[in-house]
Amino acid sequence: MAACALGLAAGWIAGCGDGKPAVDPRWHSRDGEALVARSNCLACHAADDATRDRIRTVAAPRLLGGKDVASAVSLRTPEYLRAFLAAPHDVRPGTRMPDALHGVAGTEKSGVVEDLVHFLMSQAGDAPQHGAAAVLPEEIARGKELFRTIGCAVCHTTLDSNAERARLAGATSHAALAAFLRDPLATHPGGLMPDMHLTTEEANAIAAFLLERQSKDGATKAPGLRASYFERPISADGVRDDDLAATRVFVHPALDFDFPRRNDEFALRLEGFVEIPTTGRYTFHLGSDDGSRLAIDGKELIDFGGVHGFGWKDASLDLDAGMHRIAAAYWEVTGDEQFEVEWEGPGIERGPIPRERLFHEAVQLAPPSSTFAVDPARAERGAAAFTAHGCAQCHMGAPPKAKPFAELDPEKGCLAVAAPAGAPRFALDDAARTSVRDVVAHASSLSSPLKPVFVVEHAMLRLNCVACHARGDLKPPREHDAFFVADGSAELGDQGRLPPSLNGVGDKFRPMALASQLADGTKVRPYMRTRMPSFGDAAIGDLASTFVKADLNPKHDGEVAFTAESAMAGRMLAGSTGVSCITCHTCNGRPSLGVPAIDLATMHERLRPGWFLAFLENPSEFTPGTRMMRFWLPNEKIFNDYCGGNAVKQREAIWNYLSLGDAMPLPPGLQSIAGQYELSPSSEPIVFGTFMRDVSPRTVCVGYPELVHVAFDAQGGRLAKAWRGKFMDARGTWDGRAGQLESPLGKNVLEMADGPAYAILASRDAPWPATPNAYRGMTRDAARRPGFALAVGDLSVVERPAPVLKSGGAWLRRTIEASAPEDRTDLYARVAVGRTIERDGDAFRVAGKRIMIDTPGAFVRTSGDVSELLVPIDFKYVEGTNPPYRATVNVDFDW
Amino acid sequence: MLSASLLVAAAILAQTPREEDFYRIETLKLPDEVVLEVGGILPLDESRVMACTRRGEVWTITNPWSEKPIFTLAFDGLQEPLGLAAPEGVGKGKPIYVAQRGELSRMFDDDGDWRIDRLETVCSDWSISGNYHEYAFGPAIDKNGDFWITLNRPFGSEPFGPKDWRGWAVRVTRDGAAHYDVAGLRSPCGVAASPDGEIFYTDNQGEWCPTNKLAVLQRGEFHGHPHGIDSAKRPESNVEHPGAIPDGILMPDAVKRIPHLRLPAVWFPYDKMGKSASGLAWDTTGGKFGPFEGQIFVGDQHHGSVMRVALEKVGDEWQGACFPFRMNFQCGIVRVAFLPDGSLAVGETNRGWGSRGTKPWGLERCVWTGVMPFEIHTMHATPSGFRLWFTKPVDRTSAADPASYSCKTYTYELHERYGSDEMDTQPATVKSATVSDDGLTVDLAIDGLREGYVHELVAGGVRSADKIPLLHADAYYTLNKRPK
Repeated sequence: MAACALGLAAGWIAGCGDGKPAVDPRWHSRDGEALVARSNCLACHAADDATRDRIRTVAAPRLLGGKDVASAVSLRTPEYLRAFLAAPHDVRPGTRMPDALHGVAGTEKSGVVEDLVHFLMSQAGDAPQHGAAAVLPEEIARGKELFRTIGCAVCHTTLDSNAERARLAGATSHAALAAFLRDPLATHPGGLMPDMHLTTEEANAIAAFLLERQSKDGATKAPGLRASYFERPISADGVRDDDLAATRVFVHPALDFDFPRRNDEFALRLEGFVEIPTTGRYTFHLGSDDGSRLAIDGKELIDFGGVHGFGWKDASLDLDAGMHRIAAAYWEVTGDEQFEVEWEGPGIERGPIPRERLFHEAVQLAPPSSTFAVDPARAERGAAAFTAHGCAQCHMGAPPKAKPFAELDPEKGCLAVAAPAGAPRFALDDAARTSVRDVVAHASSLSSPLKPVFVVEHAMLRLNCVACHARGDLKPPREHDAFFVADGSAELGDQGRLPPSLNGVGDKFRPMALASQLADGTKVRPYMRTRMPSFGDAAIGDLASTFVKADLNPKHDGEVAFTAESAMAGRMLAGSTGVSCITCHTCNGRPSLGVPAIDLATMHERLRPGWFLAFLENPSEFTPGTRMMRFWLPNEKIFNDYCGGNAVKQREAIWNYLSLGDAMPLPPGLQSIAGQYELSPSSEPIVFGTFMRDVSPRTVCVGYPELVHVAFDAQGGRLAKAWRGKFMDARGTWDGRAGQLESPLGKNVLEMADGPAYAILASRDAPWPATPNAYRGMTRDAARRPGFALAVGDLSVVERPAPVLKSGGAWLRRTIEASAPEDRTDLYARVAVGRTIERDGDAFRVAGKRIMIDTPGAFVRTSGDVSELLVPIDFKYVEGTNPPYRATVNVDFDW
Repeated sequence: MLSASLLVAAAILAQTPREEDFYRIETLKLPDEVVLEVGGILPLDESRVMACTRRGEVWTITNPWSEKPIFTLAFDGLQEPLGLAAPEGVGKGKPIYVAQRGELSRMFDDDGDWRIDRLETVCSDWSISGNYHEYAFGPAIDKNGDFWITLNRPFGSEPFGPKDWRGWAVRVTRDGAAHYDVAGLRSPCGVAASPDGEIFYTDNQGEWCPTNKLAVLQRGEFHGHPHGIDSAKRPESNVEHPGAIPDGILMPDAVKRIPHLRLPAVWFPYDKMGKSASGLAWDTTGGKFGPFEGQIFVGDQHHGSVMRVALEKVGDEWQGACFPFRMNFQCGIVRVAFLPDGSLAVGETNRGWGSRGTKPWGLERCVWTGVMPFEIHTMHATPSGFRLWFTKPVDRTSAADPASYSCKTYTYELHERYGSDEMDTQPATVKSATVSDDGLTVDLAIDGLREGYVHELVAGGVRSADKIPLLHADAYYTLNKRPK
């Protein structure tokens, strides 16, 4: 026990031997301290800075607003505010807001509440009135699914019960709730309702689900048509009328396809009602490329099916004035697309059907009607009450005015079983009250700071991280497991479903990565539906560095020395030629061969190298139950072709490979994906012939696994461009009739000088000619790298542009192989043209790029404001070759 | 009992002869990652076939018709290659010629691993503007060993500027020189040499091309489409400029008014005989493909079908009949080629131009089952009508009855509008039908024969000696010239 006590004094890592974190003798109740923070006790009760630092506060919703400041008041109807203020714990069981008015006598109380409501409503600023909204049934269903899968239900365990949703139905409107869901931190900076990164569409859907109880009986007719949009291969007959598998369902205002969509392989169904103004004979015109159909009152009126160019078809029928069902279907397979519906009828000239005549069946959501007008006099009285009853302490940050925290009596005031009038009444059960009393009883010890490991635990309880994440003996309730859902076919077991444990994360992650994860909720696990939300800077503070202080194993700090050879060995080890990381891990955006585990290209910036190497050695030591395999068993050598079979060096090689990040060349073994057009070279270079913008209609592009790519102009007989990153998207050349001009998909495009790269000059000063070098064809070496054959006068040049791997990304090497029938001295290569070309040691600098030439004799010549970097080609006689004079020059570009 | 069931089977067969009873279709099994939009087919040996694709890849496919074919990427980076040819045979170091959009190239496998190691530009004399429709089809190799390539006209934007020689057939000699021999083509998707080394091509209906057609390519001739005709003013042209082309003139008149206008050997009446004629191949299988040795098999990209053509030469004029042959391939057909085993390989794609069928691309082959179909084998013009050869002896009664036949004639109009209706349609009267002693030929005497017209004959009443109706009763003979 003596050792244990010493260990505690030195920090818990020394441990007590049972693996459980020991309790700090000065930390009497971690639950109590979290409750003190969440109850915002220090808003009323003054405390020294050290205590405040330790306890923190969880900011209350911002109520005071105005023209430019959002106020939480705008989220609520005045009716709800009135009821809530009168009895907060009845209206919203479990709320952390205390009842501040419980001591006010009945008759007086309703007046105070009303004054407060007027004051609060005066703060709502320009917030829109709580009006009605029309939503589609699909939105409600989608909202329900989101609510239950992305993480809402983890905290809001009762919100999808009917009773809770009935309460909400009277509290707010669809527009206000959706706005709040999109950006909760704007009005609720405390972070207890974090930002779930919802799109507008998602927020609308969740709000529609939560307010479903506002719907009136029966459907209502709302403006616009119900649109079902399908993105998938489309047959010549379009999409069946009963096909429910739409990509999106939404409301569209007109009979057209003017909404974000793709240009080929899509279908659209527009359904609803058309209002016929006068009884009579109507003619409908349907125009489309490709197919379409139109039905009125459930009967097909026009069938213009098939895959065809644009044309019109029409049909007429008699219609009574009033609402008639209309359904139009349109589909596009390939090529041009056009879709138009027009009508003509009694007194109506042919033209599009006006939007105001189109309706769909919608669910109407409306809060109870309300006609509230702020009474300035009452609002003024309310402002006084806001201060007098202590609301201002939390909601305005007024200076503490109650008894200092350190002087509190744990049995009295708000901690009394029955709080006296004047003291706010919190919803504390006996256990909670006991733990808060425990904190109060030991208030004097609160001024000593907590050890980092406890600071982390306090934060996890304060912000309810523990609802999702385990760490040490903190564990999410088992029943929460039901709310964590994997996406689609990801067969990752619980690892693909449950939020990760936070054990050791300060050791595992680089501090920057951890900070961005906590502040922004960066998503690295695409296979999990549950989202990591943002809690906001105010709530998170310096939690990331606290994790590091708590967890870091100093052995894991530091970097691994980079060499290109090591990185390339790592590439082979990551591929099917090695331990095959690509079997499970996404690789630089390319799907793995199996499950979609975390992208290899994101690991280097997230993980600490030392942790990674130790993890790779024995993954389950760090993550019990991980599906990650232990590849290197002690005393066993694998993959002797790499790093001399040295396991430590092999793991470092993989790390070096990962360190290339998004410049990571794909490892061997990844397969291309049919139906997708991005070309991603992995094992061999990809050669792609196309029309290239600003180059020529005969351009041969070469994509290399090392992620430096080139475009060779076969028409102009010259290397035109090189670039980094992604290679090409072939859609414009391979999709439909194609024929689009393509551009590099990647970045950092290096433009080569216009005109021929090679010329025969009578002298070093002779002007550079404009006549192109003639393209003679292409060779492929054993690694399938192409060389481009050129005729330069009576001489031949083969140019091989290819990457050479360097730390942080590859350089471009242009290998120039020239041949001549006799010893010639008049062949030159022009490797750069620019305003200024400067020598830089052995290299040359031209407009931000460095050029290195492995042959002596390169020179810069200048004429006017144009400088040229020329390399004279020096031939050597090579026995047994034809033609017998040969030269090879390597020109490297770093840019 | 056995004979009874055979009788039943024969009776069913007699009712409904089906194409698949005589020619079955086998489909190459493709892995997910191979997009085989076939632009050219080259049989390599008994177990290998090479295909180039619209994506610019060249694949060597080993054991293509087995459960597990092996795919080897032989080359990539070509621009829309639409034909392969190996005039010196295939193997290590032997050139394989391919037409790309902007050049005729030849490819070499220098080490015999069925992958291409080297590509040489043979000719890039013509240019492209960067328009999707500027395809180059071929090469077909004529009796002199020259390479023929047909060049599409562009539609729409020409980002690198309009170019000469679009809508021409270019002949490239061994030295790489280009000879611009024939003008007036539209979208000449198929080009091939007859066994005698004459070059024929197919073209696609549209403006100035009234319906799909098959025609011979001969130096100095014009085929009716004026898009690229001003290139004829260039000194390299081997075609005399035909002057202004009248818009809206029946073909029999057009051939009299437009200098050097070449009429097609066969019109493919629209929809009856496909909608988009493509690759063509002569049956030189020596009977392995059935009874049609020497005839031409033509793919159709829209219908996903193969048609059959039997040509004859009357005077200087090629002409003949086309027949339906086989439908229900999995996709539109762009290329056809006979394999060493006598089956017909068809290369498929529906990209950009929709087609019948269920697949977007692929390679299939059509194999004779060995059962003789009852078909009109050949239709030849005679001074008084037509002589029909049948593949099997006919039932003398039905075949001798003029009422078993119906015939009508029509022609087309040359105009700028897209496609032509059948024009000036008139009935022709079958006066008599005379059956030969062996029952294999029937001479029809017909009133109302017209030069420059398609003669659509339906022999719906004819039965074979074993009372089976024709598998395909219709035939379409383009009568450019009546034999004397």
